[in-house]
Amino acid sequence: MARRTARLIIAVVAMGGVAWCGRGGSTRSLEVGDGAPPLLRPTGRAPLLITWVIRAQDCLTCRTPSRALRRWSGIPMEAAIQVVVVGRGEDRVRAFLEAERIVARVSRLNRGAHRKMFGRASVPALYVVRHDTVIAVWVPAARPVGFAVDSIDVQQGMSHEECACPEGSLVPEEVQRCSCAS
Amino acid sequence: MHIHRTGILVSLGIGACSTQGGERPMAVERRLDEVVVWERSISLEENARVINVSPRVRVDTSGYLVADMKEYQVRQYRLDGTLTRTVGAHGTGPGEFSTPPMAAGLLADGSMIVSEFSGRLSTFDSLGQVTGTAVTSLIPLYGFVGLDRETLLLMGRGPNRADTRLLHVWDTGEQTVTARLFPVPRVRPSLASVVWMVGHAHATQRDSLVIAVFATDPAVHLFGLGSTEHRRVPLPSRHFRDVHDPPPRVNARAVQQWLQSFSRLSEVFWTGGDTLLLQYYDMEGSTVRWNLLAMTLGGRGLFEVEDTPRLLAVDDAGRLVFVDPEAMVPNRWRVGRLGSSLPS
Repeated sequence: MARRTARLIIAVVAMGGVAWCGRGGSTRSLEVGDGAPPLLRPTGRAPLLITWVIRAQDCLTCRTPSRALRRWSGIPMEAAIQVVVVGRGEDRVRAFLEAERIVARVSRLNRGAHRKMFGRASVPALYVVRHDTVIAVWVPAARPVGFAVDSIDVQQGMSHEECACPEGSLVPEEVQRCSCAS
Repeated sequence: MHIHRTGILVSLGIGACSTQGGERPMAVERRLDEVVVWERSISLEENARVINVSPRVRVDTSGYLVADMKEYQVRQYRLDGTLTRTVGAHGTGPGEFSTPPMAAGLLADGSMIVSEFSGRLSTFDSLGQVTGTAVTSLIPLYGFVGLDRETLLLMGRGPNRADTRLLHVWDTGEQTVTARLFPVPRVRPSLASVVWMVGHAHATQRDSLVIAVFATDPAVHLFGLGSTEHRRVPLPSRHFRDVHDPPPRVNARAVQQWLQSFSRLSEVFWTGGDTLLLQYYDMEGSTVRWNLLAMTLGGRGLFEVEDTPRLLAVDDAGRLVFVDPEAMVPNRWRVGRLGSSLPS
């Protein structure tokens, strides 16, 4: 089981570039090796708690660790998953998680509470905590890897540069993805 | 893929006769249970490595092929839902997909062809080993139909905007496109960017007749392979909402509302005889609302059902495979067929 868990941690970490950071002061971002705030500590039988901190507009499947989180969802004895929504849009996030088949507890933080708890931490970010220690932090790349479209007026109008889809690519699944942004 | 020119003329002739003479009967509003006779339910086998998230399905007499664009995996199932084979994973190595797999089809020898979003076609043997790849230069490549040993009909976009055709006849031996058809339907300039963004196309094919749809064009297009024949048949729909000009680019909320203001055709299925089923969708927030429209090749409306479960596939015998309307997850399906008492 330990080897399997290790493989899954690697899978999460490998999703798109891991920010392994050094230690710092109390207003800085959470980093590997830090003591985890109570919200991020596992409370059930599973030794790991994976917390994905997002805003509703971050529900873009090209930038999420969805595939890894689905795998974790299938082994609740090893890891629990929670999604913390910063700001409004909790319903949209729940719908997104359902469509992505990710089983997670969802809670909400307002922006002030997030700042107090996470300092200057990037959003979205994913934290893996074992017992009370942060053992991995994942922050997605600033822009999605792969396609870039900047010539389509209506996409620019969506104001989220993350929503970069190749021309003519908005098959139903992709429309759903892009419409998650607001 | 054999070409029967006589068949083309007869098929397109049906459309010509039926749409002439004025009034075009619109589809009658129905509930799904009124038009579909349910036969059975299926629960697709899953395990720690197999989770159905975004299935694109092809069905034949031996079972189902599922290309999952979010899991980068293709699965083969028996008709009872038993998993028999998986191929692919996310990655850049042999047998892996760097972009989502969009469609899969079986050849007579049991090998499998998979098309990727990036335009790559990969062939897998019965053991799941890659035996060949081809680059089509189409991106996005939405999928393919008309599978036989020599020819595929690819649905996708060419490498540059100058080529607006959406369907491409692909010679698997020569690995080249031998014909192109179905140009992006013309729109006024203010909608040009819209049709590029939501420009998804889908087609079905029987013998030499190709039936195609384009997301924002409220019509089906009939083409004869090997000929220049083309007929546009308007949708006999009461509910399909036409696209209109997008809002100014600066207002994200307005764009969001605009995306919810028009319908998009997603797939066309041929259920046998001259009956077509068209699946289109509307957005409601981030939720996709599916709708079905039944019509004849000639353009006569049969029925229309709003807010249906997603229709995944139609087999050669006319059986319809839906996501189970009561299921929370897309690995539970229901199979039925159109009832005999369709509106006439």
